Amino acid sequence: MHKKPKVKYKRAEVLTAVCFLLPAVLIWIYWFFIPAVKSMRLSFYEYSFITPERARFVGLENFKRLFTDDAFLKALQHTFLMVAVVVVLIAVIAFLIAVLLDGKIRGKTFFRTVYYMPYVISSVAVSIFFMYFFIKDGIGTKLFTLFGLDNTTWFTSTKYALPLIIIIYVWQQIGFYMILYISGLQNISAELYEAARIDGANRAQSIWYITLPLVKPTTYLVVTLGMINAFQIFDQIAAISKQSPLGSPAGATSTVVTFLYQQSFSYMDMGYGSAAAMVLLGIIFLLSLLRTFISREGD
Amino acid sequence: MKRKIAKKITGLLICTSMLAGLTACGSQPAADTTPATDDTAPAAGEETAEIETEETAVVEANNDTGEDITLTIGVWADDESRRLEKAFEGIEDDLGIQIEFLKYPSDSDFWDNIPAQIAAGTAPDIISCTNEHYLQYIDQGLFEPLTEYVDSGVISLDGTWAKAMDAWQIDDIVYGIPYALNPGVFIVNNNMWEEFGLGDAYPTTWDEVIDICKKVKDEHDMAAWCVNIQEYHLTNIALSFGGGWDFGKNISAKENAEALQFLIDSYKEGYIVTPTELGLGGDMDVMIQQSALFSTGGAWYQGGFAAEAPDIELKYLPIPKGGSGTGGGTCHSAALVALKNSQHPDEVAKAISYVAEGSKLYEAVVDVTEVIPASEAYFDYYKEKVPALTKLVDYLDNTTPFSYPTQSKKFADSLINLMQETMFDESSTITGQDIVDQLSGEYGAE
Repeated sequence: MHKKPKVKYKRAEVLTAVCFLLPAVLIWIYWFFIPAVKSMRLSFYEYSFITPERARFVGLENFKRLFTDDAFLKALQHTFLMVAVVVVLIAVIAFLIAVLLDGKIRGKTFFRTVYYMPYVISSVAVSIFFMYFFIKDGIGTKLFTLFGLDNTTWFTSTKYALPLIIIIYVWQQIGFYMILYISGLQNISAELYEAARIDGANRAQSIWYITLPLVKPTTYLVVTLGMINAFQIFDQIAAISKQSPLGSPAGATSTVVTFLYQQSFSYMDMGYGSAAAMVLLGIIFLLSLLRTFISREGD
Repeated sequence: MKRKIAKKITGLLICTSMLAGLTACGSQPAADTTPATDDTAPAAGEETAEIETEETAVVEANNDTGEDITLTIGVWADDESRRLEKAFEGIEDDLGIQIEFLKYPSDSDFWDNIPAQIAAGTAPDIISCTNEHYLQYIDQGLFEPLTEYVDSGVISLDGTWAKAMDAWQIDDIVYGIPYALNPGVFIVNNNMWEEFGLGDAYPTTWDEVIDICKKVKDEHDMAAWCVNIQEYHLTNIALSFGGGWDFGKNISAKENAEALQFLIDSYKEGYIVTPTELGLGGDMDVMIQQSALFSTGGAWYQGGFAAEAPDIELKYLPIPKGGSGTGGGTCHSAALVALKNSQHPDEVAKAISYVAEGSKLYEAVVDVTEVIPASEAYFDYYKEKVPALTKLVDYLDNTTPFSYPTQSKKFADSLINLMQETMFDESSTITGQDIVDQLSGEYGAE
């Protein structure tokens, strides 16, 4: 077993590193760590931020309540479904677009810009734009009727509202993940493709045997980021819920994030909302661990 | 060597500036003598929507104590801020109190932000709100009781319409000073009515409404009735059937079940259109677009149509009767409310008294927004100034308070969700009775 050689840094170097890292660490502590610890504490309390004097320790009561609350279980189910679909779609589509745009095609800078552009547009604006596409007799709706789907307003349909959120989110986020893949692809030596071509490999075989294995680290990154971000989808849901309760229609688009927001801010049940936030934190943490474990096994 | 020194200096500078920034973020609000300014915007990091701060014409003046006092008033509707701006005109000169308005984009933003702002110490001193969702905020202690100011004569409630006063005086505690009334009405687009040749008799029962819906659907292939699936409209219809929520005591009443079932059946028959399925924000948008012939609503339609569709004539009818009910819907009673933790409670009372005692507030309500003032002494003034809506005053007697259960927001969300599930999911077998039973299980009170 080889031990990593210990690198000795000079005091000045350490001081420089500390100076550069300290602001980020302080911000992280102030904006993430302290609120997370406070939220963790609140999850064991019946607490409203309006009447902190009425706070009451309830132990695990909030967590017990969560797992018997149909609305939370429904939100959890939607969250997992959405994450699973979104991560797969994003990874596959972003990879394919990146492969296309990494090749020798004309105007690839233009196309890269076009694909990236939705990512910098306001989520609410994009959602409203899509809502008009997916209204009854709208362009998007009519397109999907070709595949046997109903001609109905998607965002009022309990059946189609969640798929609409997924479509909006994937369309908007794809550009970011495409950029990650493009940077991953650019690290692959052209000589490998050249050698494969000389050995008689076609384009598909090159992608399968060279590109995919070598962009594995990028894929892990895409999956991890995609998963963490998808767990926190909010804007698009808030936009399509409009003046109805968050997660409309009929809770068909509710997720753990919308659930905890509603409990904490609309219903002022901050303790219960914090418990939901802790469950979400736990899920993301476990899935990230699992992903790390899988990637280590894969390596 | 020089590079190293430069690196260190840069690092230290960044570090210092960040620390300074963090210190600023964590600091407490300024002392109470500091006039509220644009800093009343929500603290960084809060989940708050965009709030516009608008300063009224301000004349530097001092009050009795020599301090510059600025009070903020939170409102969410444009017409509400316009009428209050007019009502508070002159208060700087007379009392040395400056007034600023905090405008919220919508009522949900309003209610979602106010509690967080109170907790953060950035809430307005006064808000204008209605008696629709107020109970849960009263229950949480958000509203400062005004009883002592009423008892001591600082604020006068003489002449206030009794039902409005009942709504705002709970267990002998006054939580708000009502100043405007808005009874629920059944609004008909008279241009379309005449164009469709629907006769001279307007519907007085929901069955007659459905007969018209059938005719319009057969002859014009459109849903005549716009129902916004929101607690306000659902409550109006439940009350017209003789139901109502009675603070949670009456949720599972058969009249409520009957009213909801009536809506569900009418929607499934294709007589009802909802704003959301047309991609529109509310029922008034549907009516302005002439995508429906009638809807439930209130006097705010008058201003909305005057601005967006002035050529359309509207008829304001009483809410039709359903089942064994006697018709009549709800009544919004807008009030000025002092919020908890105001730095200037006495000035808040003086400011409220300033507008409520004279004619300014009630006249502004009529002149600016064409809404009924809450003081009975101004009912005739209203009839004279707004002849098109004269009948609304007569409808007041047949109105009933909203009477949602205390957890009104949660109750409303559950009601809407269940109605949406029943109406928008074709495979749903949920009935009106199932809905009220479920709601009663969750929110019912003894």
